[in-house]
Amino acid sequence: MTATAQMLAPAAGPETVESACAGDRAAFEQLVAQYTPLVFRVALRIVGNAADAEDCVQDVWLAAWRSIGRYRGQAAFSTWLYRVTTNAALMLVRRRRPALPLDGLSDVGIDTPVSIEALAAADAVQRALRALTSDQRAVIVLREFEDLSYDQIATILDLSMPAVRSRLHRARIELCRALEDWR
Amino acid sequence: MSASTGLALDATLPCGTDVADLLDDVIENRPTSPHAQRCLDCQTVTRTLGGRWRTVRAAARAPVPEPAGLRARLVAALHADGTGDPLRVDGERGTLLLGPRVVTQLARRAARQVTVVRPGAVRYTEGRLSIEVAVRYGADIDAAAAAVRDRIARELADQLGIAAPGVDISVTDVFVAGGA
Repeated sequence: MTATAQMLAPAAGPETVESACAGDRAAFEQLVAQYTPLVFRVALRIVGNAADAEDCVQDVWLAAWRSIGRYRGQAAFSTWLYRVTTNAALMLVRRRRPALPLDGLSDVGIDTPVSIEALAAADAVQRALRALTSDQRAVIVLREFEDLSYDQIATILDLSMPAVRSRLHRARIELCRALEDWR
Repeated sequence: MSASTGLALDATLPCGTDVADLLDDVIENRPTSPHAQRCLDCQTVTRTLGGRWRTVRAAARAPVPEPAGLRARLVAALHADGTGDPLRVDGERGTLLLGPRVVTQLARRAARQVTVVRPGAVRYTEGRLSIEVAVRYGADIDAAAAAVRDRIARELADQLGIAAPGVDISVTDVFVAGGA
C-alpha cells in the first residue's frame, strides 16, 4: 500500500473491532491494514532486524485472528495489540539463535524523506538498544518510542507500576550508556 | 569531567548529585534545580545527557516503513489459516489426527529458517502442503525451494516423527535483502 493509500484507508473504529471479534474477516483485515505499521514498528525495535520483525508480525496477526473472540474490550484494542506484539517479540528474541545481526533502520529501507542526521540517529539508537536486555528494550520501546503511559505499560507487560518505573529507570541508564560513543 | 566520554551513569558527582537523577530530569523535562543552575559539574553532565537523549527522541520520530508486500503476505496467511485437512499419523497404539493449523504452523516455522525466503500462505490439503513464499532478490530459486522442502521434512520428522508430505511451493514475490 502506498503512503497515500495508507492515509486514505478508513480508520477502524470500535464497530470494526466488534465485527472482527464476531468473526468478520473483512473487518479483521481492516484492522490488519490499520495496525500493521504499529505492530511492525514495535516488533522491529524489540527484535532488532526486519526479517524477525516480519515473522513476529505474522505471528501476532495469526494469534490475534485466533484469539480476538476472547477480546472483551476491557482495554483499548491498541493496548491489547501492544500486549500481543510485545509478548510475541519477546518470545521470538528468547528462542532465536544468538548473535543474529540487529539491523539499523537504514537497513529496513526508508522511502519517506528523512534527513541523513535523523537516519543516523535512528541507526545509532537501534544499535544501542542491543546493549539492553529484551525486557528493558520492551519497556523503552513502549515508553520512549510509542509514548505510552506508565499505566498502559503496566497493563501490557503485566507489571506493577513500581516495577515499570524501576525497569524503565535501568533501561534509560543502559541506553544512555550505550550511546556514549555516538558522535 | 569529559562531556563526551567516561561519564559514569551510576556515579555520584562531587556535589552529591546522582548522575541518574540528572538523567531523569533531562528525560522528564524537569526544570533545572537551583543547585544545578550554579553547579558546573551538574551543568556539564546535563548537557551531555541532553545530547544523548535528543538522539533517542530523534530516533523515536524517524519513520519505520514496513517491508514491501508484507500486508499481502499477511492477508494470504490469514486466509489460509486453519483451512485444510487433518494429518493422520498412524502409530502402533492408534491414530493421531493433527489439525491443519498444527501442520501449517510447523511448515511455516521451518520455512522461516531459510533466510532467503519469507513464507506467506501455507495450506495442507489432500495430503500435500502448499506454501507461498517471497524469495530474496538474486537468490537461486531452485535452491531456495529445495531448502524449504528440506527444512519442512526435518521439522516434521523431528516434531512428529513422520515423513513429509509433498510440498508444493509457489514463489509469489521477491524481496530485497535487508527488508523493504
